[in-house]
Amino acid sequence: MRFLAATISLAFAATPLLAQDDHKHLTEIDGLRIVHAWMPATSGPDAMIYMEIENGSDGLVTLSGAEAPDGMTVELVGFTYTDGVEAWQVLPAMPIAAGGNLDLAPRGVALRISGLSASLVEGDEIEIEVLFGDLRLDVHVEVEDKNATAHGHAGHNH
Amino acid sequence: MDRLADIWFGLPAGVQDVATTVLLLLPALATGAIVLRGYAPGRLVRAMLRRFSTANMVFVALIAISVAIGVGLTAQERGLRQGSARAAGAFDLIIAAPGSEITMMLAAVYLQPSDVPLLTGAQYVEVASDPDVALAAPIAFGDSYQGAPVIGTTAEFVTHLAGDVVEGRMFATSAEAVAGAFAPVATGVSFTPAHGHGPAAEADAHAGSVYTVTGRMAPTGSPWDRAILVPIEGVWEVHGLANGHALDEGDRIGAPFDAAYFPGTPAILVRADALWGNYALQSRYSRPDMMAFFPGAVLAQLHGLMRDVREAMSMLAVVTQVLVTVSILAGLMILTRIFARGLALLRAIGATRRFIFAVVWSYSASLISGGALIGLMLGWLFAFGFSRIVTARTDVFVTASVTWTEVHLVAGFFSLTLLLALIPAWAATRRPLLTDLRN
Repeated sequence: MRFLAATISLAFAATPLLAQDDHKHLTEIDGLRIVHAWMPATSGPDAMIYMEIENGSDGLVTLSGAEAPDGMTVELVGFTYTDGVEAWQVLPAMPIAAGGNLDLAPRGVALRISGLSASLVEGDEIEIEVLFGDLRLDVHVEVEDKNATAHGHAGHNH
Repeated sequence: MDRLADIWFGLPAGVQDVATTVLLLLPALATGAIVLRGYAPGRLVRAMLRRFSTANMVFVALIAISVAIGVGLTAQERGLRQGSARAAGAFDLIIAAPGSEITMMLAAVYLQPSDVPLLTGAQYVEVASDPDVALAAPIAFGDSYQGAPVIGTTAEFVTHLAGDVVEGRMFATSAEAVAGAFAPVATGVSFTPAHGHGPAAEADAHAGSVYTVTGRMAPTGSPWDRAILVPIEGVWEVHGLANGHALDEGDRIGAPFDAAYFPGTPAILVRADALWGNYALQSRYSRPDMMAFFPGAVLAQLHGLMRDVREAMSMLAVVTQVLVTVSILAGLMILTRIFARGLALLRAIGATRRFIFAVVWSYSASLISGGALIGLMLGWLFAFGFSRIVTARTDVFVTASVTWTEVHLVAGFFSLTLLLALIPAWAATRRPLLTDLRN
């Protein structure tokens, strides 16, 4: 009985931690959700940020870019592979229909952050504001391994 | 340090390449300037080269071959990478039934025979009627003629892939075909396709069905140059299926297709007009019942996996060159024993050790320079010849050329080996004078 009580207590104690962990992976305003924002560990001033955007709102939203603190700049970019050379081209704002989704993923679409003053290693975190016109979502970006291809929790429902 | 890096990255690529070459050559140039300061051993070195011309030519040939292998391998690898990427350039976005992206890319872009599931008519119509889609061309493969794949698609796809036909006209009925630039059929010829590819193809499976070639496409540098393109309605009809249109539409070919009469297609090539469109469509149609992928991204991933192999290959090429050169320098040390009496005589009549050092080093440097330059040219020839073979075998147009990468490789090799050439020069000055004179 004592063991059961202890287990239940521990489970309750862990709940806020899990909620907080969930909260870190998810940002939501009016049905517009951003989950699993991540970036690979960096060694230079530029890096790519990836995330899953789900438009659960009633109307079309337009991803126009993002802002970051400390003089860093962020722009929306798309991957290209021309003549065997990998490159990223700057994209204009991207509309996401009601009920639609947009996955920012390696060798696809990404937010390129420039002006990082220090290397970021696995486990680090940065905060950015993702812009949908006038709508701004604070997003918590987790730094994964430099060779990662997805967020550590990719595939989990939040 | 950051300021230096900023300046460097701010330079044009051409200037960076020239500067890198100069930096790589600098150790050799500096060594030469120091070793030869105050001396002009040219005539003596030329005499040494003439005296043992056969042995010298063997040394030069060995250096040249080792350099050529390195240059040829790196140039060829780059040519293959660029050629395969160019061949996929027209394939913006592929939508197919869920499965392996690599298998589907090989099938749809490089026309490698594969058994893949089909997308339904409803799925095709959903994609084709998407307001962000400018082109949704079905690509149906499975038949062949004389080894050339027979691909069912639409006239819009033919134009998208190769522009207007350069000979004859575009197909206008389901019994007409357009030949790829190097397909084994002439305009005006009629043929019956075989079911399948290669030795297992069933030549009589479609007996009674005939396509007539009405035109020829411009070269694309891809396996599509050997393909024969027919209206997808023709492929369906040849297989006894509905032709994508209701009966009251008569013999019309091309989009739009009726989902109810659409037998299925292995893949759809999709292109959007908006810059962001292909990315949005890729995200939209990556879902449990279909997959959407960029062939370029899959190819980049494959090339990325090979990057380690490529780097290891480059490293092996350099190591091989250095090993060959070390062997040659060991040979030169033996050769200097043959020159030993002459060099001892020089010293006896007043030549300094430093002059002897300059003579032997210049002699080694001449052999290395000649070998490196000939190797660079041989490497280009090797890459050029191998490109022709790869192009003939894969139909992917591969062009390998010597670029700054190879020049840097040779410049690095040149400097390193000229530094190593100091060893036999030093050894020549340490020989016992009297013994050499008596010999």
